[in-house]
Amino acid sequence: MTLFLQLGFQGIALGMVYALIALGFVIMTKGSNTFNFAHGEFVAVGAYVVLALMPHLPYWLAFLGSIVVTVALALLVEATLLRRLLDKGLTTVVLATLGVSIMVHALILMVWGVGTKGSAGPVGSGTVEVGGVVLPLSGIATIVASVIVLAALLVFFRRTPYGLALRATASHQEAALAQGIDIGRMFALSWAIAAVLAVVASIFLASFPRVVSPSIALVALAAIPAVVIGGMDSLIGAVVGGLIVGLIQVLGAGYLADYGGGKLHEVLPYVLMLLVLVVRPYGLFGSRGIERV
Amino acid sequence: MAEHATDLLEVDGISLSFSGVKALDGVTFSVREGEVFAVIGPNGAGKSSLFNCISGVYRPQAGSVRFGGDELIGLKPHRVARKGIARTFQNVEVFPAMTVQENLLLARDGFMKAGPLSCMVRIGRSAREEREAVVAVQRYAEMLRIDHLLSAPVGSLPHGTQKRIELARALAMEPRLILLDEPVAGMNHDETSEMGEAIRTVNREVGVAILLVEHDMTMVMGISDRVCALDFGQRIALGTPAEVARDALVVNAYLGGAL
Repeated sequence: MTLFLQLGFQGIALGMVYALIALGFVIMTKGSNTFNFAHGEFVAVGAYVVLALMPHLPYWLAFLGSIVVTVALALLVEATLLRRLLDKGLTTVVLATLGVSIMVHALILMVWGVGTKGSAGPVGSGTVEVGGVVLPLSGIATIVASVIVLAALLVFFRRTPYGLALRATASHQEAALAQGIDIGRMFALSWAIAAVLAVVASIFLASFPRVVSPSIALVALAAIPAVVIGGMDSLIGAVVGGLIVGLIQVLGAGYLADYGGGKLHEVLPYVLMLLVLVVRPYGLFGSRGIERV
Repeated sequence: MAEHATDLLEVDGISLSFSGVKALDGVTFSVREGEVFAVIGPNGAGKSSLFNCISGVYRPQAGSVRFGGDELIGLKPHRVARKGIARTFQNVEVFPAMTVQENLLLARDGFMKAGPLSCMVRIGRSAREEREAVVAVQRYAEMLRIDHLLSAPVGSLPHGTQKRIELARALAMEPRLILLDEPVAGMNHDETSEMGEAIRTVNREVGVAILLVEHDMTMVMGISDRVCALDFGQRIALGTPAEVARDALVVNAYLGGAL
């Protein structure tokens, strides 16, 4: 039972990280009709920049600096590439993001090398014991910070003009234009929000026991099964999908370590994703219309 | 007539073709400040193309569209909207997942002058802006008798109500001109007369000019100050409803020359 609680806690913490990344995917998909395969690399850039700034600045400034850099990168890609390709069709745009992803990955290797680095998390490797269950501080920080970010996002979408305008753009672009909404700005805003979420996710993805390494982008892409399971156009779906993927991975790693060379848990989210695609292609919370994407 | 002193919208010789097919062929008319102006014509006469040229969705190959003296051709649709031209769509385009109030708030001009972060914490300018917007939205909702539905999600409401919400949303922009694309399409007799009444009320109480495209002749003749008839992309008549109804070309266009 203790093991289950411990794994469950870690699974929820990891799931929240996936939820933040998955939300970025969904917000970009809804806001600008694209699926951005470079998003995993945005997460990696976030972690590397925090790590690079940490020795020179207080942690929170390193974090803000990373947000500035990552948002700038996202806006650059959106404005120079995506906005120009929009009328060329979804496949073109998606392939372009794949190209960007490979370029950013190469750039990271050029600047920081192929080796693994230290942790980029806000708290160290400490633990607390609650009723016999050992909880790492990094997990607690992950859950607390993610809940705060999710609440802020909820307020943003429900209660601010920008949130409303983004929802309107996602709902019907022509009608949004008729309200005087500059949908180009909304595309950019959705990418900027996704980039901010990527940086928040990155510091927790690179928290104890994990570290910053070039493969962090690949780990971040486990948010893709989360998006598919939850539904491509559902914000709630992204959070639920993220938690499901986090829990399966951690519980799988704990209980199935003796099978498949201890690698089985990495496959499980994708098995579930394929199952969802066959049985319920629009995901648990998605709308049916999204199937054609 | 085209050079009338209080002309709000001047459509001057616009032509639009799609790969050789002429949708609009030198159409000219103007809408005066505060009037209800209808464009009629059989299916395919170019009514929707005309709307899309004014609202910036299409760009005509020739001609000009001036609004309050400013050229509109070449402006993006959201810029045209900000100039003071609101519109409704043939198939109601409300935002179904939002409440009626959210739909209306969205349309408020200058609603987004405060930055996104100050909107989050709701202080100073953004708080004041929001209070003002809520009051204005309440007023337009009352005018169209949807004020009791402000917190309801739009998607769950009947078609006729959604049409009124769309009109209220257009009003909430406080435009100088509203374009109505078939405001009574798909409505029964009662809903149609109710909508006609609503359009008249809006025009009278707010003084906003209205340019509408419609099939329902009874409705058009009942509420319009002037009517322009199109056929095959050309203007075939322009005048008061009575004049246009008597026009031989119009009768011919509608009845296909069977008489």
